[in-house]
Amino acid sequence: MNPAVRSPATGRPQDSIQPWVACPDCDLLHRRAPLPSRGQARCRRCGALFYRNPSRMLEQCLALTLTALALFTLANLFPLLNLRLGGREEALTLIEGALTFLDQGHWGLAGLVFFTSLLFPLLRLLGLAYVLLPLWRGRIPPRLGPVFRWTQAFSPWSMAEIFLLGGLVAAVKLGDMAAIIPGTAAYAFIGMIFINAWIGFKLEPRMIWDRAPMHVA
Amino acid sequence: MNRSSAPLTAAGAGLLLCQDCGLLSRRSGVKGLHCPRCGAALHLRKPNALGRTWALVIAAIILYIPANVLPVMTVISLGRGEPDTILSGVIQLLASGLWPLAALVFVASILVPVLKLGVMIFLLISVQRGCRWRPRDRTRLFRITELAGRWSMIDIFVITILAGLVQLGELAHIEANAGATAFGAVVVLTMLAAQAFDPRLIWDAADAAPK
Repeated sequence: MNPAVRSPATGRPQDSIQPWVACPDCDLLHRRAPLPSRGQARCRRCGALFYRNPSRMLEQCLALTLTALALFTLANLFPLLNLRLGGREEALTLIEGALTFLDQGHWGLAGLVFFTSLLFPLLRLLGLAYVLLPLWRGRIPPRLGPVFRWTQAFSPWSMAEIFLLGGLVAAVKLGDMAAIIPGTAAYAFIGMIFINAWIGFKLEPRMIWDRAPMHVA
Repeated sequence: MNRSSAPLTAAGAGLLLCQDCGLLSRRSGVKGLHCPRCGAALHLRKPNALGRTWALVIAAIILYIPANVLPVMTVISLGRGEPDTILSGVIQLLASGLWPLAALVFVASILVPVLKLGVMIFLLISVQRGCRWRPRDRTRLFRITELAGRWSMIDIFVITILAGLVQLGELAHIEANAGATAFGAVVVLTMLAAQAFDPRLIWDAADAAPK
């Protein structure tokens, strides 16, 4: 399954070091061993998780990614929450929530909320779809390595699930003074968060890296 | 385990580990030091990890003061405003009997940032003093710190939704204040600090021969 690995310096095959893996947390070298289905490899010195062997990783992650993208689209089209108070009604969509701070002159906060609750979750899902769809069909997408590196880098900054928990706290806080009714988008958003968590559980980056070609820079 | 013989590490074998994709490359002859597979910059250890982590931790500590002293939002109802700090928000939740939510916000907004800064300072000092004490537990502490930090953003999102939803003009509206910006900056800075730190330094110190 491994593509031929070549040394970045000489272009010659580098097979002699590829049976080795180094621990990202403590740098200890281990010999790479095949894993049983659903098994996992950990560093014997510091316990860091190296890789797992989830079954049917590509097609399941692809299906989950496409579902999450569909739900994310729905979550952006409809109001997230409705507030009813004294005969007045206010609806809040996800994008309005992210841009409220802009109206109030807090552009730093507006940027932070826009990036973490909207842009990064979206880019992470789009990146996954870009990588997984061709791989599932047996092809290598162009610039697979850099695209997947950025997709992984967005992961900790993609905070849709924290946004949802914040929404829950806000709704309970307002519960005393007004009626809060969750909108269509709230259900889509909750669905997307569960599927995001499922992707996080199922995705094994090493299975994607193993398929990425080497470029002699 | 025999402490006198240093275990075989990637650095010891003359190999560079890509922090992004896990590929090992030989150190000799790698030009430009970029991973041939994913394009990330390659380093033996994260560059200037201790200095950068210290700078980000100190910046976070400085901003932690306005984040807690200044109001994060103001509820303006019928012309009268009530500014709220992070702590007064928690106390209000307690006063309305919502103690599970009060506990959640207290842990995410007050406990996690303080613990995270404390842990990062402890790790930095322990590495700088060449400490050999329980490297495995210190690595685990770092991993938990790295994962937990992002949950502090919850208060920012609470304010986002409150301010976005309560826009009833004269009747009531909610405005964000400068404390929220400072608090958001604290969360971002502590996340960047964890990313700048290199846990392998814990093991380098533990592997080094005793002085």
